Amino acid sequence: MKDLKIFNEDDFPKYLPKLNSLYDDLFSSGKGFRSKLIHMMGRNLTLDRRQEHLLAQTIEFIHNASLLHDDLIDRSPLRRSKTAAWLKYSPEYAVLAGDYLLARVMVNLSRYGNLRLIQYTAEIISDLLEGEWIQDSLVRDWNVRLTQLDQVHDLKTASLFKWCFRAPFIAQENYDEQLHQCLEEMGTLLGLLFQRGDDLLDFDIRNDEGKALLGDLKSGYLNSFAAFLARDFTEAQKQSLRQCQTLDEVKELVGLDAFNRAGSDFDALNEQVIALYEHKARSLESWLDAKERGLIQDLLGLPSVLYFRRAK
Amino acid sequence: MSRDFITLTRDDPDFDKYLRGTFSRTERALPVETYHAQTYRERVTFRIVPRDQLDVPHWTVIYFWSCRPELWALTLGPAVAGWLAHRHSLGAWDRWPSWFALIGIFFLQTAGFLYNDVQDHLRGADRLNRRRGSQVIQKGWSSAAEMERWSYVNLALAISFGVPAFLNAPLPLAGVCAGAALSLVIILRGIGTRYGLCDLALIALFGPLLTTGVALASFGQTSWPDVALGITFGATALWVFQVRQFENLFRSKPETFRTFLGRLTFDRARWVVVVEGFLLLAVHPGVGAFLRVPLFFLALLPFASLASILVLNRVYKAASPLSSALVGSSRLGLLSHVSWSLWWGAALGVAWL
Repeated sequence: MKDLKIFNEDDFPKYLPKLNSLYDDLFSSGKGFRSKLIHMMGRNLTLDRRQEHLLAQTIEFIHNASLLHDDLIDRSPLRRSKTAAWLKYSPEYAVLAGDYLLARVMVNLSRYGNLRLIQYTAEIISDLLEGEWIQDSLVRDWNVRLTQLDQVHDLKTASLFKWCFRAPFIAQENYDEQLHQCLEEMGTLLGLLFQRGDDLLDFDIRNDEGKALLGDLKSGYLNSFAAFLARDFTEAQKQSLRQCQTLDEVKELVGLDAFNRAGSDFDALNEQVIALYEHKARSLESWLDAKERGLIQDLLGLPSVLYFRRAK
Repeated sequence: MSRDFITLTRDDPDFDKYLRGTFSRTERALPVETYHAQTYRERVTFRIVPRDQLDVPHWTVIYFWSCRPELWALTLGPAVAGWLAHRHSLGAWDRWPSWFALIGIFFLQTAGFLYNDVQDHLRGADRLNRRRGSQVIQKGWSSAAEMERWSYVNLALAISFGVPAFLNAPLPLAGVCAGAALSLVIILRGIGTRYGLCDLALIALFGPLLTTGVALASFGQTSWPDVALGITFGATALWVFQVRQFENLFRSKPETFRTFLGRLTFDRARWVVVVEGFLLLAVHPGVGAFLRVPLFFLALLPFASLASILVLNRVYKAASPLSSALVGSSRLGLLSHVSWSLWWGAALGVAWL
């Protein structure tokens, strides 16, 4: 997927001190795969360049606004291996910069004029914030289960994937209810897979991008793989898990074989989710024109990239 | 297990056959979990599994779990307590209506739970919350159509046993039945939830209507102690339902009904559950003293109230509706009803003996 230029210097006012440099820092090192997903959708659905850019910019603005707020809430010192905005600039600037991105989203979409797109985007932002809020209540909850985390991730992570799938059709003014329900379900499943794949990186599983290890655990948050790993733990084992500072300590606590087996079992569980996602992706055929059906093949390849982290 | 899926819309001619499980003699269509915060009613995805790949237990095991044994105390608890409260009349307990009334209530409850399981499946509530119901349909042990037939069989048995008991006091029992019907309408249609009418209907249905109904059917008479006992049980049942609602506050949309609690914010709802729970800890011994249960049983109150205290602790600790402290709290709530029912059964039983 090709890289997209998400914003240029004219998108934000030049007279606001530090704002542009803050955004430069934020956007410059991101993978931008949500905007790439929009590009993939746009290419298959033959969206025009203006629509594609608006949608790609919208999703990246929303995502990065959530990152600015997220880092402050979690007190994370790093974002994409660089000092987080709230530390480099100030917490106040981080909050305002996030809010400003969300405001720009509404300004841009209002100019475009598709009311349904504005409404849906507002709903997604609302879902995202609900997810953030509820996730914060799960910090230091060491008995949290995968099913509970799935509900948080459906709001926090999957909502953006749902948007990426549905927004291009809304921009084309295709409001078929059944189609949108199918896309919504696919977004939910892909969001879960992405989040679960991302959570595995914390435990150095398929961590080719070199993400810092045990970040969630050290912040007091049991992520989806940790919840899966600890599902049959005794209270004493959970107590030990929360004190682990290195992956070797985790593996020693669980046992290397049991750790590897948990990884395989987690993959097997997610293979079922992938099977369901693929079933839904194939069912899109009835809504797509012959020239749009290449989208299905592209969609079928996404779990491999987003869960198994295989480069495409 | 097979990974073949099929997605059907409501307007598909085969939709009903898959949902009810009548589409094939050799396969089951198991509903797939949605993961959504809202339930979708227009499209349902099923996983198709050959029946011979399912580990289906003997029908008696299926029937046992379909009867929802964990919920027996909700109706049988007050019924047995109401029955034992008439210790002066129990000398005539060889009169068959008194037994028939209890058996009839058991079958009526089972018919209700079986039918409710089928309705949950048809409405999609089971695809949203996998812990709901008996799980008999969800595990592929039985189809929805078979469950529905079983509910009718149980209803017929309830009527068979209920009619002879009904003849014991036809006019007053007709009033009780009318009250029960009215309560059900209020609960299922959510009438006056904002003003707590639904909660009052739940108290009546699982409390005074049961205790007075059983007393009338068994002995042809009722009294104020039946009402007091009924209100105590009804309030406990309401609290159990509220705890379940609190546990499912995050996904309250698929609930069949809402109590007053379902309209409150999380923080207020938590305080309501805690305050009501503490009040119940005082109401049970208070009514026990009113009904003159032996003093020894008042000393056993800490054991009877243990499950309630554990629920209160969990609810108090919950940081959000998704907090792990709440997981299983509704089952613990049911256990608290069981322990109160056992306490009342033992106390009134000993008083009678």
